[in-house]
Amino acid sequence: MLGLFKRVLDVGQTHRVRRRARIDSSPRSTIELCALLQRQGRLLAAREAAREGLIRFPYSLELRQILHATWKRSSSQVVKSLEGRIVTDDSAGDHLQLVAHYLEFGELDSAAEACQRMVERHGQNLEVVLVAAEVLLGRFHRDHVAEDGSLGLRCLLKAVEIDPKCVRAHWDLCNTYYYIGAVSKAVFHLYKVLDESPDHSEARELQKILDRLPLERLEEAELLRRVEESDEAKFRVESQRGQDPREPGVRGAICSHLEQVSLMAGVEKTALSHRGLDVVSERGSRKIFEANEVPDPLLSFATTFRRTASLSAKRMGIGAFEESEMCWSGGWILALAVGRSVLLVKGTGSQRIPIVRAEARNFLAGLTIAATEAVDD
Amino acid sequence: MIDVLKRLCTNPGFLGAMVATKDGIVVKSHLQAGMDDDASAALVSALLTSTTSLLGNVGLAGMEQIVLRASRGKIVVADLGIAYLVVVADRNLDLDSGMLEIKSASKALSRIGRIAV
Repeated sequence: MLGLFKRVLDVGQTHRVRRRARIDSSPRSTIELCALLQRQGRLLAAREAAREGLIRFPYSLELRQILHATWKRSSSQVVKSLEGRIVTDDSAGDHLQLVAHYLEFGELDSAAEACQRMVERHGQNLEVVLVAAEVLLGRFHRDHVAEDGSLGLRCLLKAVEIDPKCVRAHWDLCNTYYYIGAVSKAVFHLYKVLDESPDHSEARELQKILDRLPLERLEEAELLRRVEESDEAKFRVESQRGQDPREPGVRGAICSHLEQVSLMAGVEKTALSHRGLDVVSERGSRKIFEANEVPDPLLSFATTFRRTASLSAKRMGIGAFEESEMCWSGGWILALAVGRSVLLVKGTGSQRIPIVRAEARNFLAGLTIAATEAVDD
Repeated sequence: MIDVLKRLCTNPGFLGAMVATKDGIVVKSHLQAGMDDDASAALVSALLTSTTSLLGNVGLAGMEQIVLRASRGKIVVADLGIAYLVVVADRNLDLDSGMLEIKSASKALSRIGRIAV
């Protein structure tokens, strides 16, 4: 009887939190839902909730950690069985299944390792090189590490070598070259796509854009390096859902949330640089810095540190910089970054760091909610 | 010194460790295969130098520790006084328990440093 009563309470609580998660503009409620489902022993439901949450908040570190942890606990047998089949069978199909499993749960790094083994053994299989390219370029879009982009392009060029009429390979090449600014190569592959598939509507749309753009003056390697150093692509596609600080009302909302972070116990000052919005908040009051103003020293520190840390992390082979914690006897500084956006929180009391970090992560994840990124005119 | 680094790397999730001077010269290294010791030391030194300088601009000094988290791994840098301990760890490693190991390794290495000087 008590068990039934508890189950009814659990279901009610889950529904309430789920409803809240749907309307919450930060990932906080989704994280709470995942934690609740895990406490109830519903691992698969927690995994699905984290996966759905990441579609809405792709930059939420907490949700990514939850997805990784729940995936690892729920899928270890599946991975073992797939790897076992590869050892006994070693067919391309088995490798592709393993990679598909990793990709389903956003495990790009594990997928990349599996792709490396897959290409070593089945490098002449068209599907294998196309999937390897997809994984490497997915990582390139996530981390902007030049080596991933270069390897991804090599896989696609291998694919067109195997099948010169492969529309998917030409289309992916066109998009990737467009992404890094290699317009002439993008146009070359675009016409290959249209030769094989004249009714390709996306290609027709992209043709209108590419026809207006100037040709690149730099080599591919240099273009990739520029993307790596700037943490963004030269050409980007229109965002459908995003908090653009230039939109009326959005700027005020972002600053209000930042003020709330600055009011947390232990926090002395916060600084945010996000898509043209530079703002510093201290004890609930804010100052927005326009382009011609001398920025606050903490803001300058935030943007310079992000650039340095980003390049260092990539060159050391640990991917895209996400966050940093600097401690000294008098206090601490947290720096969190998503692409070129950076949030810096300065405070005292080391015991406050985990709480402030969680809140700062939620703030940044909610800030950068976007399916794709904005275009430069 | 190398024994301290090797013992540190036996902990689950720790991928490598090294001791480097503040100007980027490797003292001892136990990094995993594929990581360039000299390049890593130089990069960490550059990062720390610029961070210390930037912190000085905002009126802060004497950084004891820095944790840098990236999409494929973590780096922990602990100040040993005359050098730095750099630990490379798995991205998903829970550092709450790992930090105890790093702090005890730092203490052990600091003692070795004092004896050598």
